[in-house]
Amino acid sequence: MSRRKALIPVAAAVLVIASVLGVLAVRGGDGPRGWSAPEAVAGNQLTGEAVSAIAGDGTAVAVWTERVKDQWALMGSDRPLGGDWSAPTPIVGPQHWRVTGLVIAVDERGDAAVSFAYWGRGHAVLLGSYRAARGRWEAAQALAPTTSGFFQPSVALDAKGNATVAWVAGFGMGAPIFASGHSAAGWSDPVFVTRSSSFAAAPALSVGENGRTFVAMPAASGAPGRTHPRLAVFERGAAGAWSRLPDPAAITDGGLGPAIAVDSSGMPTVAWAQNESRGSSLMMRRWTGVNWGPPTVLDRGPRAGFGSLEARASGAGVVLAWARWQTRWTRVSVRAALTDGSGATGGSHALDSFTIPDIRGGATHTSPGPSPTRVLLAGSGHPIVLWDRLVTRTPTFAGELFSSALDAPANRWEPASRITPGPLEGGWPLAIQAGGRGKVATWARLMNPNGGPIEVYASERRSP
Amino acid sequence: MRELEDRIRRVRPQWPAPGSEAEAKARAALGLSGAPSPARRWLARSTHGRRGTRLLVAVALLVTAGAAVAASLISGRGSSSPVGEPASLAFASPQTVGPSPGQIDGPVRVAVDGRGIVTAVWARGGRIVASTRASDGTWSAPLRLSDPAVRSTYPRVGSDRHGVTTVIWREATAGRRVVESFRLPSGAPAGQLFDVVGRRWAVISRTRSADGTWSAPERLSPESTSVRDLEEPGLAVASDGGVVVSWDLGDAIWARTRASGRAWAKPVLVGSGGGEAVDPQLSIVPSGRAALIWSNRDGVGNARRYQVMVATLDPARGWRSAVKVGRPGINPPYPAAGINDTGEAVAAWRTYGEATAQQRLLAATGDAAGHWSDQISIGGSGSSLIATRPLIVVRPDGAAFIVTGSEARAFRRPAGGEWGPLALAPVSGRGFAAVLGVDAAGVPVLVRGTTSPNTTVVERLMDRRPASKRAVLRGVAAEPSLALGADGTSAIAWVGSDSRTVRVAVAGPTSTSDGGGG
Repeated sequence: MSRRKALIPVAAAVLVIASVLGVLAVRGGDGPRGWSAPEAVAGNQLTGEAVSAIAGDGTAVAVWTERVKDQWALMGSDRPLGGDWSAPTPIVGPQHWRVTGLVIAVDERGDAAVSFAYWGRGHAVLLGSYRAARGRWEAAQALAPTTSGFFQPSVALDAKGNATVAWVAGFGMGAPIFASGHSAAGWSDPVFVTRSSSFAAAPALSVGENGRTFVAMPAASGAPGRTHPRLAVFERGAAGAWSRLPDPAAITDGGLGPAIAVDSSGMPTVAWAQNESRGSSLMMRRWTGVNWGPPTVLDRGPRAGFGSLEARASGAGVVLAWARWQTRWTRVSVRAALTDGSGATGGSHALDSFTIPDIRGGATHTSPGPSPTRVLLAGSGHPIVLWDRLVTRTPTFAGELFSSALDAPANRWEPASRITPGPLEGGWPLAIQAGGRGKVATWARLMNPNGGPIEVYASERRSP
Repeated sequence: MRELEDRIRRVRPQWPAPGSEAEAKARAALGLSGAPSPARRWLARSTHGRRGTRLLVAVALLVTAGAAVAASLISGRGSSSPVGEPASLAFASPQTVGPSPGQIDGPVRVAVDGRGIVTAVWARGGRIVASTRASDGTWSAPLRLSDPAVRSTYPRVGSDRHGVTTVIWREATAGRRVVESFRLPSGAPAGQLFDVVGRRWAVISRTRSADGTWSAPERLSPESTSVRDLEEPGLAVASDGGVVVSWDLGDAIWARTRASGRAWAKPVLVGSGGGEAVDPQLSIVPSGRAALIWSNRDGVGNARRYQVMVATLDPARGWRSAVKVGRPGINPPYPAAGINDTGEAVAAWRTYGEATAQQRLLAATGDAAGHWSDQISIGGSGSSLIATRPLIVVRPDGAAFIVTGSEARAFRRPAGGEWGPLALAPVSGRGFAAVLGVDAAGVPVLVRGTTSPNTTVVERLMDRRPASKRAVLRGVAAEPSLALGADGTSAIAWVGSDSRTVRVAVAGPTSTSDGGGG
C-alpha cells in the first residue's frame, strides 16, 4: 500500500472525530459558555415568593406561592438534570391565609424540607413540610405558636435526611429563637434556643453530616440592663436542648450577621464581618471541640462594606463566599476561601470584580451599607458560587448571573462565567449546584418589573 | 314706597351690606352727602332713623348696580360678601366632653350651627358617637349614632345656620369571620389566625333637625367590597343648608348633594382617571360652591404616578367636569383646594424627592369659567415646606391664602396678583399642627399648635399684617378640628393625650347674627 493510500483512513478518522467533537460542542448548550437555554417552571399563577434548592444529583426543586382569587397555595416542582420541570404539585392547597417567608433545603439525595408562614391580619403561624427523596410532600405542620408580626426561619438537612428549622419569632430586640426538627417520627415541638440581641435576621443554621447542629446569631451577654452584644453559637444536644458555646467574638458596631458551616468532623466554622475604625474585616474561627481556634482575617474592606456571606461544608473543611465593596457604590468584589480540616485557609481568592451603576441614584446622602450583590454557594465536593452583577438601574434593576466553580485538582477557581443569556430585569438568583455530571442554576424573575407574577428558571451546564 | 320698603325689609335677613364704593355711587346719584358708612353700621341702621334715605339707597343700588348685584342683594345667593359675624377669640377653658370607656379612633370633628350650638363627633371602638353643647355651655352625654354591630370609622360633621346638623361615616356593612386553630406536633395548641372576609363598606348619614331629632341612618353610597374605597368620605355643609358628600370608588370620585330641606339627590360621578382615585378633599363656601380635589394613582413600581384632579360645584348648575391640574408626580401629592363664591379656585399640592430642591409646594388657579393655570412653585423648597397638607382659603374678593408646613408658613396672593409670603405673628414654642378656616366675615382663621410650651394659638389673618388679636389656649393636639359659626361662635376640638378624652374649647359670639358653619 502506498503512503497516500495509508493516510486516507487516518484522514477519514480525523474527519469523523472532528465532526463528533463539533456536534458535541454544539450540544453543550444554547446559552452562554455552554449553559442551556433557561427553562421556566410550568405554572401561570406564580406570585409572591419563590425558593429553590438543588440536590447532589442535579435535581432542582422549586417551591413558590400562588394566588388564585382570594386563595393562596404553596406549589412545588422538580427538574432532574437534563430533564424538564415536573407538573406543579401542591404542598399546601388553596386556602385562605397568605403564604409567605419561604425557605428550603435539599440534601445530596434529594430529601427536601420547606418552612413558611401563614399570615393574616398582622399575625403569623410557622409551618414546615418535608419530602423524602422521590416521595410526596407531607402535610404542612405548625411548628411554632402564632405570633404578632412574622417569622424569620432557616432550614437545613443532615446526611440522613433529618431536617432542622430554626427561627426568630417576631421582630425586634430580644425576640426569641426556637428550633424544631424532623425525623422519621415527624416534626418535634419547638425548643427554645436563646433571645436575639438585635433586630436580627434569620439565625445562621448548619447541620453536619453526622447530625451535629449549630446555630449562630447575635445574642446578648451580661446582667440585665448591662448587656453587650456578642456573636453566639449554640449546639443542639442529643436530647434536643441547646447549649451555648463560648462566644467566638464580640460584635462591634453593627457588623454583618454570621455564616456557619459544619465540616466533616462535625466542627463548626463561623464567619462574620466586623466594623472597625477605618474599615471592616471578614473574620473566621473554627471550633475545636474545646475552644475556638485563633481568628483568621479572610478579607478587609470599607466600613460596612461586606454584604452577602455564605458558608458550606466542603471536603474536610468549609468553603466561604462573599461580596463586598471594592469601591463603595460602584465596584464590587466577589471572593471565596477554602479551609482544610484544621481550619487553616490558603487565603481568599477573587472570583470577580465588576463595576455597577451607582446605587445611590443621585441621592445627596446615603448611609454606608453593603453592596446589593447576592452570593449563593454550594459546597460538598464541588464548591460553586453564583452571584449577580447589577447592569442597570433604569428603568428597572437588571443584572446578569455569573458563576465560578472550584477546579479541585488544580486548586483554583474557574474564571467567572455568565449563565443568563442577557440582562435579567427584575430577577434574582435562587440556587446553584455542581456535581460530577454538571452544574445547575436556578433563578426567578418578576414578569412585570413593576410588580406582578414571577417566573422560575433553571439552566444547566453538563460536564463533557 | 311702603310696599317696596316692606319687600326690602322682608328679604333683609339675607341682605348683605353693599360695598362702600357702590353705596358712595348711589349716594352721589341721589345727591346725598356724607361719607359712606361701614357696611355693618349700614345694616344695623337700615331700619332706624333716616329709613327712607337708606331705602332709597337700596333702590338705587337695585337699579344702578346691575342685575347680578341686585340679585345678590335680594336673594343672598352667590354673594361675594360676608354672611355673619367674625370668629370670636374669647375662648373659655377647654371642656372635657363625655367619659370614654375606650380608645378614640382618629381625630374628633366639630361643627357649629347658626345658633351657636356645637356638635362634636368621634369614633370610639368602631362606633360613631356625638355630643352636643347647649347654649348654656353644658355638653350632652355622647350619643351613639352608628350600628353597634358593625365597625364604623371616619366620622364627619357639619351644621348649617338653620340648626340642621349632618353626620356621615364609613360603615362596614357586611363581613364573615374566618378563624383557624393550629396545633404543634405534640398536639399542644399553637394559637389561631383570624380574618374577616366578604366585607363591604358604605357611606352612612344621619341628620339632626333643628329641634334635636335624629333621622334614621341612610346609606348614601353604593356598597364596595374594597377596603381601599370610601376611605375618609368628605362632608361639607354650606351656611344656607346645602350639603355635599364625596367618596372614592375605584378610579372615580363620586358626590351626592342635598339642598336645604330637601332629600338627597342621586350620586353623581364627579371625575375619574387611570388607576385608583385616592385622597379626595372637599371644601365649601357659605353659598354652597364647593371644590373637590384628589389624585389618581396609576401604574406600579417605578412607573407609578399621581395625577391631581379637581372639580368644582355650582349649586345652581351642578359639577363642572373634573380636570387635571399640574403634571403627574411620583409621590403622593396630598392636595387641597379652596373656592370662593364666584367660582375662583386655588389648588395646591406637594412634590418631594430625596434632594431638597425637589421638595416644593405647587399651586394652580382656576378662574370662574373653570380654566386652570399651569402649576407654579410657591415659597422655594425644603422639607419643612411640605411636611403637612396645605390649607387654602379663597376670599370673596379673589385673594387667596395658603398655610402649609410643620411650622405653618403662610402665603398670600392678592386678587389678580402673585403669590408672596405672608408674615405670621411668631408663636412661642415649636409649631407642629395647623388648621385654617374662614369665618362668616370672610376672614381666614388660623389655628396653630405648638410644643414647648404646649399651646394652641388662634388668630384671624388680616391683610398684609400679622394678626393683632389672638387667643392662646393651653394644650395642643396633632389634629385639632376647627368650626366657625356665622354667629361668631368658634370651637376647637381635639383628642386628649390619653386618647380617651375629647377636649373642646368654645368661644361664644361677641355679637348676634344668623348663619351656620362647620
